[in-house]
Amino acid sequence: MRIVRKQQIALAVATALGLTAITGAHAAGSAVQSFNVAVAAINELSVSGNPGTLTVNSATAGSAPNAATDASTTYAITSNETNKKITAQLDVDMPSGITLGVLLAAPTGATATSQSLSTVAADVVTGISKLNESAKSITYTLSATAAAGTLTSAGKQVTFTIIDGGA
Amino acid sequence: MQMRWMCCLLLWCSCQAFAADITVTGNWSAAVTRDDLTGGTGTDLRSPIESNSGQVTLDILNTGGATWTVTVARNDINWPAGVALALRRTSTGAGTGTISGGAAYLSLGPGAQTFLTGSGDRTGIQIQFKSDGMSVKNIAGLYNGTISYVIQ
Repeated sequence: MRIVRKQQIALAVATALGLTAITGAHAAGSAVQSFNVAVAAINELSVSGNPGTLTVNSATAGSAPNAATDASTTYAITSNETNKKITAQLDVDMPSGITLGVLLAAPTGATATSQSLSTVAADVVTGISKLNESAKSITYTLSATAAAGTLTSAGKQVTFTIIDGGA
Repeated sequence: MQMRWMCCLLLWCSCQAFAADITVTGNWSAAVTRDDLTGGTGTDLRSPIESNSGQVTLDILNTGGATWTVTVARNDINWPAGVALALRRTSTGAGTGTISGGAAYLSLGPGAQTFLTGSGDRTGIQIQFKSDGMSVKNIAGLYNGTISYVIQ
C-alpha cells in the first residue's frame, strides 16, 4: 500500500514539472509603435540674377526698330504639388509703344507662353506638377515702335510667382 | 495530508511560468519642409531621412532568463509608394541578459521579420529609423502607420 502511494506521488511530481516546463515557454508579448511623416507643401522659385541692359538702338530703314534680347538668366523650381503655374508682372507699366516680353523655358510636362509684361500678372508657365529643375532659360525681348520715341534708361522689376494653376 | 501539501506545492510551481513582456517607449514623427531640399530651389528632397539614434526604446522583461526572439512588422495606414522604412538597434540596452541582431537597418514590410534575439531581460534598447526614397515627385501630405513588435 505504501509503495503504491509513493508511486502515485512520483507521477504527480513528474507531471507537474512537465506542466511547468510547458507553461514556462513564453506567452508572446507585443507592443505597437506609431510613425508619421508630415511633408509640407513645397513651392520654391528662384532666378539666377539680373539680365543685362536691353537697348533698342538700330533699325532697318522702313521697318520698326530692331528688338533687343537677353537670355543670360535662368530660373530654378521645386514643387511637390500638382497643377501649379508661374506668373510674371512688372512693378511699373512700360511706356506707350515700348514692350518688354518674356519667355521662360518650360519644365518637364509644363507649358510655357511668351507674354508681354505689365503690372497685371500673366501666366508664363502652366501645368507644373511635382518636379525639381534648374537652369531653365529666361529670355527677355525689348521692342519699340518708332513712335515711342527715345527712352532714357529705366529700370524695371519683374516678379515671378508660383501659385495654384486653378481649374 | 501529505498528498494535499504536495499538490499545493506542485500548483505553486506551475504558477511560476514566465511570460516575457516587450514594451516600446516613444514614436517617430518627422516633418519634411523646404529646408530638407538637398541644395535649395531646383533640387529634390534629401534622402534618406533618419530619426535620432535613440528615437524609441524597447524593454524586454519577465523572460525568466529564457531565450527570446523579437519580430517586427509594419502596418501602413497611409504611406507613399516607393518610400521605404527601416529600423535598427543602436544600443544593447542594459541588464544581465544578452542581445544580438538588429544592428544593421532592416527594411520593414507587412510580414513579420526577425529583428532581435537574446536571452534574459534587457531594457533601454535604443532604436533608430530611416526613411528612404522620399522625393518631391512622390510625396506631399501626411503619412502614417504602425510598427508591431512581438516577443516569442
